[in-house]
Amino acid sequence: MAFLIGPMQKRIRGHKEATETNEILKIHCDEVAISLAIGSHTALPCVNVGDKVKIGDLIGKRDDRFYVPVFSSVSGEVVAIEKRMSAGLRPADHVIIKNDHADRKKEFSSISLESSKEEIINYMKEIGLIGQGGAGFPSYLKYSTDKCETLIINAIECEPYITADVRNIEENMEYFKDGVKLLLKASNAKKCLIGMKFIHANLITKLNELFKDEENIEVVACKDVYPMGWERTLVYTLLHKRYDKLPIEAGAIVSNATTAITLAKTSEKKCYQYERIVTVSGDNIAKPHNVICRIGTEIKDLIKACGGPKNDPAVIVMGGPMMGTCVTKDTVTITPISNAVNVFEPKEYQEYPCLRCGRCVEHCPSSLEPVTITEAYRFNDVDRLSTLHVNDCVECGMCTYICPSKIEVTEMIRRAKKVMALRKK
Amino acid sequence: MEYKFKATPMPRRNLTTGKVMTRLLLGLLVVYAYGLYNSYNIGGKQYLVNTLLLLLVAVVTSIVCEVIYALMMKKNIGEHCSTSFPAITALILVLTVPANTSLYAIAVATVIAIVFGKLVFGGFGQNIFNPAAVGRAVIISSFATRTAFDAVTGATIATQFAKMNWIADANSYLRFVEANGGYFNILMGNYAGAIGETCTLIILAVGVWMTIWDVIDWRIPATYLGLLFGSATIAGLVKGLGIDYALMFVSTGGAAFGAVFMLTDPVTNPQTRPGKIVFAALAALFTIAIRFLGNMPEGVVFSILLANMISPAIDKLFSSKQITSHKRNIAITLGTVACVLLCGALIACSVEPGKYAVDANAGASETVEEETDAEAGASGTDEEAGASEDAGVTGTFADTDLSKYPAAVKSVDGDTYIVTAGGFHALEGGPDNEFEIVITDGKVVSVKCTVFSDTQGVGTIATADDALAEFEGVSLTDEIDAVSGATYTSNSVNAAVQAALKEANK
Repeated sequence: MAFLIGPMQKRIRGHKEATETNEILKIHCDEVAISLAIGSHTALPCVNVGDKVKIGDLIGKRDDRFYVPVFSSVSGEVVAIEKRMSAGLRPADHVIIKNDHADRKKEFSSISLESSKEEIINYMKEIGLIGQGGAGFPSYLKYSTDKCETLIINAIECEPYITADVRNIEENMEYFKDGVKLLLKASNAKKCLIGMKFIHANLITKLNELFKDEENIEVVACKDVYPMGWERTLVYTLLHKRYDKLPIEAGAIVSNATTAITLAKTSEKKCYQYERIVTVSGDNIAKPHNVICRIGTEIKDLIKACGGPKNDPAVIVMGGPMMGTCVTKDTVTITPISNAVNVFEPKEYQEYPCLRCGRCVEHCPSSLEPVTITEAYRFNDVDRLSTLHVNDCVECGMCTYICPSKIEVTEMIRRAKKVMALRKK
Repeated sequence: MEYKFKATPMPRRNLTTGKVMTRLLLGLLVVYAYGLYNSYNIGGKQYLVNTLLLLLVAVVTSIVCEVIYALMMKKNIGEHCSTSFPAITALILVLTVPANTSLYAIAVATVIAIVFGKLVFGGFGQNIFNPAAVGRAVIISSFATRTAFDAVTGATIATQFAKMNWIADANSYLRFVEANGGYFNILMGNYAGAIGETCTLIILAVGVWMTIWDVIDWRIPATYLGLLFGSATIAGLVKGLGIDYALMFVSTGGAAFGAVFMLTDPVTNPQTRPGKIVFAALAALFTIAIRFLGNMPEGVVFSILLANMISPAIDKLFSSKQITSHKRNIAITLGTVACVLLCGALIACSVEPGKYAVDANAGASETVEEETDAEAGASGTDEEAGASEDAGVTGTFADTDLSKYPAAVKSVDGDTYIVTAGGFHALEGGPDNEFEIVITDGKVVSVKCTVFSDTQGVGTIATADDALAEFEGVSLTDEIDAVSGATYTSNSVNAAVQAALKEANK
């Protein structure tokens, strides 16, 4: 397949050594601003200014057909509800809560390995579990199927710089084990594959030890390439199957490792998981670290805790440097799906004319033709764009990375997608 | 603290187009360095200097063109030139012409290549045709016989091969290979030809190096050369020439150079991998067709241009999601390759094998060929080659008109005759060649060359001991075939022997 299509992946320098072994910092904050933006939707607030809230109190929920709750991550008083820029670059309501540092918690129910599939799925819905790999798809929807044959736990973390998932697993081995078993139960699958890059050899050994009694759970060492952690690439690598829209068509459910840990931890502690681990790294941060912070912490606190940017000006990327979004304000806050804040130097590259060499075509994990899409976008040829499967692009950034002419291919495709979306309306 | 916006992804691969082009330039320079050495071998200092001047003229011309374009388009000159890579086109163009090409010819070709091959389309990245191939095609078709500043002493291997219709009967074929110094010599490129195309081994080695350094896609040269080789192998087996014929077919002419340096130009070939393979396969078919059926001595440049022309259509053919159309793409690619192999073999087999003869006695018709430069065969060369063959088998040695090569017996010592005879250089007023010929009873006993003033490398074939040994036992009443390769020089030997025999018969 690679002979005629191309590798569809590429080894990218990981830079993971910066945060792989050093200590995990803990950040306290006096005020959190919890974003009500969940994926592409925005939840409605269900608290008023002046209300007292505990950790785990419902402060917002999605009003459309999907139920997704938003909980408070601190105990204290709601001081404002205001529109701010969210991590997804959309203005959205943020509930601002003043922390009284009392940490009063609302008690959640719990589940165990004896619980039935339905019970676990209902629990996922109740605790508002969303896929924590970055997409934020509600987990209970994902698991509401009986066609699943293989559960895939995604611990690849293929983006450079990020180590949050791997550190999280290291710190919470037992929770990870329980979480995987709960997810396996919920999926009703026969077996579970845990995908992890082979470079984490020590952790793989530890995990093999951890799961040695579980016959149907297997840790698979995967190649150190980008985008190995993308659902389609991972499913193809592990199962040699391709699918059209959702992995369930290939008989698989893919969940992030952190999702499994969050599920088990919530059930064990009977409490909303109000914190998450975030990698603060990049080539322009003084002291790269993993930090544990409350959901709703402003990223400027994280950057400050890691020594601030080395040089001025800087570029902040929420999420991985390949797929993340660049934010221009440091008041953006951490959401349950933020796994990293990366600070970079704004490097300028000399742009050459497009050679039409086809490297972007060969490396595109969706096997699209970025060069043709770019060309069609430049000439505003909407008819041509409509034949090029523009919406199958996941904006992984591979084409821009690989382009020897340093053209902003991914950005052009993003704009092309917007053109197509406007045309549909 | 100021936070700027920059579209993700942030990391970039180290490889830039500038680096790709630098690596390509280095690869080309390796080939050029060998070209310098080979030019010196063929034509001495004069050729060496001309090869250097060709590059200088081409590069300067190309940069001048780019600067004028930048001024006209009101672009920043430095920026434009650094993203337009004129030197690459100039260097490729120089490597495709023979070492004796006149400087004005290369200057005109460079202007055509840069302006009409590239800039009129909107500059680097927009051109449809390989600019260097455009320039080369102009030299072939417009200048024809006038590109060279001197007449080449003898035909190149490619033109010799072309005269035999690129496929010879077994006997002729063996003589042809032998006359050119055997397979290794041909692979090493120790013969006259375009500056960069002769040494197949170096070209392929540079190709491998450039594949490793991610400059070119190896699929293109592999498909192209593979199909030429495959078709020629089938034809060779059918005609009883053996597999080595395919090796000759691929390693003579510009096939290897065109495959590695010109077909792989990313701007003018398709962007998908199946597209690239189909593109190379079609180029191979065009080359085979032009070589066997056309009347040009060499088809590589034109086949590249034809394939370039089809490239956008190939892109359209494969433009879809590669995963979903994978099976269809495999079918089309394999189908095309198989068709080209079959068609190529059929074309090669359908051609009447030619005879190997570069005849000394051909007289007037020969001179046309002699002035023809390496690749720039004017139409009708084939017929003339045929005619000269016929002339060669009639008449005796005594009747042969060699008055163009004045030979005079200098001294006689018993049976030994010292004879001077004009060679190629003598035509231009240079020194004569001198031979020592022993004759008893009207027959030649031995011929020795004592003073040789013709071009080293080419002319030496005719004066090698083996070649001279062929004169043993020759008398004035015999018919004689000249030694191949260097017509002037072999005529010079013939004239000397003729004069000595006439002297002995007095």
